[in-house]
Amino acid sequence: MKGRTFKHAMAAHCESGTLTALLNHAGLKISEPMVFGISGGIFFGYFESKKFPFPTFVVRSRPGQIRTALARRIGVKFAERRFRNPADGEKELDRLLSLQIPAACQTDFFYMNYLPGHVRVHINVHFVVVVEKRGEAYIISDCYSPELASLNRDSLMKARFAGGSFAPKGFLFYPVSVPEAIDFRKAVWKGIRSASFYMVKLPMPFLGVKGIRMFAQKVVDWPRLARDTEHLSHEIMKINIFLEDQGTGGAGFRFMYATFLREASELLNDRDLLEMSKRIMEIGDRWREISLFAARIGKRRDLGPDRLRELSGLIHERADAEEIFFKELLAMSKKKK
Amino acid sequence: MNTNAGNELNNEIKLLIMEALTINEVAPEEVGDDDSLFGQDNVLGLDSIDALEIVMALQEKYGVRIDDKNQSRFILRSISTIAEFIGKNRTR
Amino acid sequence: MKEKEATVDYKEHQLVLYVEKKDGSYGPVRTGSYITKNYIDDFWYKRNNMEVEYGEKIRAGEISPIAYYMILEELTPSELAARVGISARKVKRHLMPRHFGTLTLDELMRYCGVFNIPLPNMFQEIVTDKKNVKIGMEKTDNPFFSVLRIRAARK
Repeated sequence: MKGRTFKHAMAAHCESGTLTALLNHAGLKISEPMVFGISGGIFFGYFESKKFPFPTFVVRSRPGQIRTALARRIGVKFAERRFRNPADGEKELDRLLSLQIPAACQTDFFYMNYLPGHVRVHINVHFVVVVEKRGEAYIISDCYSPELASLNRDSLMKARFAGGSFAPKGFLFYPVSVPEAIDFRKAVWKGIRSASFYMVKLPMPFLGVKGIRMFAQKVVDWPRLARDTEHLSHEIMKINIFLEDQGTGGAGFRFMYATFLREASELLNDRDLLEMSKRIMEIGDRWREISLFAARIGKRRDLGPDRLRELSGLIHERADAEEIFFKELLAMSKKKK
Repeated sequence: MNTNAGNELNNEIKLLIMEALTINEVAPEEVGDDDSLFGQDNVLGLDSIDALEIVMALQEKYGVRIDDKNQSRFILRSISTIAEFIGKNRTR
Repeated sequence: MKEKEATVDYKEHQLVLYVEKKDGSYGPVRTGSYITKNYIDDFWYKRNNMEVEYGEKIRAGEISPIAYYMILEELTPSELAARVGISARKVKRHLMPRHFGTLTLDELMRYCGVFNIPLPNMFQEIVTDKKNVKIGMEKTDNPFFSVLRIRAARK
């Protein structure tokens, strides 16, 4: 698990990508879509909170769940630490690196100054692998960076110990044991069952398919919440960023989920899963149309009531399609588990 | 004696929540054990993102999983309901 | 999504998308960001307008520099309070110019840490009407001391 050169690779998403890279490094061959699918990472949630200046939505399960659910389902064990005192957190990371153990760290994305400025916002749930310490700088394997990057000590410390919602508190983890054999059939179906359950069965009106509907209903009211047209345009165009650019693999993780189902169908020799993978790929294609639509009307400032109703209609259609899809997938998972 | 042990857990949960959410303008004593945490006019002013953070903090500290199968809406109703759930299900 | 629809030639912002490949299989491709390539100018245009608009509000004494950076970084008083480690009630006061003067140096430094700016940027705006110079504040190892560097802009 240590000593070998860490192989940097870009990935679609920071949490599933970081886990995949660490597991591969530890000798367990597994793909990012598999990690994402088995953990049941696909989701939807619409949030209005005093912590965000504008309503927002997520397309994945809550931070950390990908790791904990994956560990439970395939039997990987991770060492995990949080720190009250930043100095302890720094010391522990340095200790691991001196033993040539790469560790994943939770960070505030804002301080990853090797990435383009326009993407760097304050989000406390960005995961990177810290590979090595060179002098006063750290070598970072970030799934969103084409190459290994260097980050100075000050930035890494600020990023690991930023306050605010989902504060990282220096959280770090690394695998300490990987299983000899994995029951992939069981793991895959558990992951499918939990994801589809979360999509269609949660009672909260802002989560799962209900959350997509809430998004569709509320987006027509966004003009009332925006400061002015340019602000509204910015928020509407962020729909595209959240679905496509913010580490989703495209269409709000739907394309990566399709790839997971495809891989699972081959692994388990299951034709139904192949069929489902094609369907979620098509569902994703329509999500991507929403992204492009949002970018276009935002750029043109074409944001009148009719246009937003059109956008709302497209989102409602996605809710309907995903409701049918995940209900079928849930039924299938109950039968086949 | 039992009530004392219960109160201790209640206070621990209060502190955990306030630390997880960095709430420093409300004293723990101001939060009643049976006050509605998410209802209108709740003293902490909690919303859905806070709920998510509370679930994560409880999971980490007590090793409990809160998902729909055990009805998070009811569990997160007040400090008492959380404590009752933790008391029954904690693994750490 | 088909691979050829996903491919965007844009080196400055690369990402991974999952696509249907030519042979019908699904898998990852590395490509450029469609939205950055096509809409980045609009993003900066709006951002610059915001800087101008809120910069004027500071000058007019309507908001404090803390409010300026909070709005620009898309934070709320509640989230900013948690990040700076002071109460939301206090942060809300700091957003108003008449209370800005009551900040302690320590509090101000904590705000600067969150916004990742050198201290003097709380008190000044740097402008130039010369196109061929680049002016910027740089942090030093001493948190209370920064450097204002003026240099010839490269073409």
